[in-house]
Amino acid sequence: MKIFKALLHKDFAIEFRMKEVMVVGIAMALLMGTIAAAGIGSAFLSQGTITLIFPTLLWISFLFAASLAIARSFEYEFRNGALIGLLLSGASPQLIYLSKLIVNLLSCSLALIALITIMSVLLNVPVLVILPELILISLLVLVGFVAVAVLLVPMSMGSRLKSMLLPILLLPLMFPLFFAGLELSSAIFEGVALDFTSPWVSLLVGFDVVYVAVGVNLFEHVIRE
Amino acid sequence: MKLPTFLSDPKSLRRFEIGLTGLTLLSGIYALYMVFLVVPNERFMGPVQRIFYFHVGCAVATYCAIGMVFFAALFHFSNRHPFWDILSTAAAEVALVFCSIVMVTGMIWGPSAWNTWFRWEPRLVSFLILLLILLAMVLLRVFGDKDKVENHCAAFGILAAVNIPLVMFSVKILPKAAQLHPEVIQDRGLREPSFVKAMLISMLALILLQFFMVWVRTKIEMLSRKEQSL
Repeated sequence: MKIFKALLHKDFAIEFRMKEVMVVGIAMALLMGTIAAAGIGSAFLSQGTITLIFPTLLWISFLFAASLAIARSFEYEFRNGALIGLLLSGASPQLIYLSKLIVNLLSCSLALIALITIMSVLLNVPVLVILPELILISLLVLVGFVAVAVLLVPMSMGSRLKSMLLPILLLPLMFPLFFAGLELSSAIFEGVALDFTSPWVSLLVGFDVVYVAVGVNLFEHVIRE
Repeated sequence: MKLPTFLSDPKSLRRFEIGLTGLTLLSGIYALYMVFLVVPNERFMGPVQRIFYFHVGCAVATYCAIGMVFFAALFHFSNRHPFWDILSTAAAEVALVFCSIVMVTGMIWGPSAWNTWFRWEPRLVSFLILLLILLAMVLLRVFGDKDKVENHCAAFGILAAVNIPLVMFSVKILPKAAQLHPEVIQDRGLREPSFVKAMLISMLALILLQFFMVWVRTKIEMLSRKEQSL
């Protein structure tokens, strides 16, 4: 537990000092939100249609922004063999993975909050009434997204394509999560209350559990030679 | 390169290769004979229905190849023998080929049944995702970190293989109205006995062809790595 706290402290310190994932995520989210809103605005769609396509735009913009931002999450561990030093210090790869997962979850949540805010303001879609349900769905999608991304980022770091490889690996695996998140958020935007017994909720929880379990077990093999 | 014990005896390896080649060839010829000369034309769709025998067989062969990727990845992590990495590479590539054939044959069948090449139908989308995952796996092999690519591919293979049953499950959740893909076997659509026979034979032939292709690709990769180490 002591080691885990130290790892969390280290990851939070890096993130708050460098602010790379957070700043890139928020900036990309704002940009994507504005571009999407400008595109929709120029199409002169009715407010009903805009509300209908809002969740789709939201998740597409989020996936794009977050997959670019999260690619920076291991930047400082890979420099000068810091990761090897970390492993030699006695920190288990599972704890390193979990610590990164928590810190990136926070950074991506901030990016998503920025994205929801800008898009709802620019497109005039009220989100405050459905905020608790939207937060719950977003959290379920985010856990799965970050669990896979933290496992895949070290794979893309050493590749010839660098961070360009990350979206290629990440997005196909994200499709079921994206689809489930989209189905649930579309329903709540249409005014239907979130049904916790819905198979989509089970699917999201199932994916989260599987992705975190696979990530915890495989992370060691991904970072070691 | 040393092969695992069960494949290290040259005599039994030779027997395995001859047996696999012979079975693939015989079953392939028999399947072609059944599909094109024995099976009658389907009443509503006509000759285009014959693509069904290749389409279903290739889908099953894709699942077999992904299963091989999964087990090869597990064996790779358990004993780190290079053979498992090579087998996983070969199976991923062959899975990509068969998955592409499934998509293409489906698209050839599509215009005659649905009057369109592709529909956003859950089964079709799930196979499209599968194709993209397999493509990502092959790209990871090509562009990945040279020092750790074996581990990365094995980890990605496990992640992809675990993902597939979940994707298939997610398809079932969607409302029945959204599902246009025919459920021929579940709905007992194959009433003529020769249809069933042709389907089983073509499925067997394509599964054997998949094993044969994986083995050939494995041998090519083994020779290529041997050459690189000289």
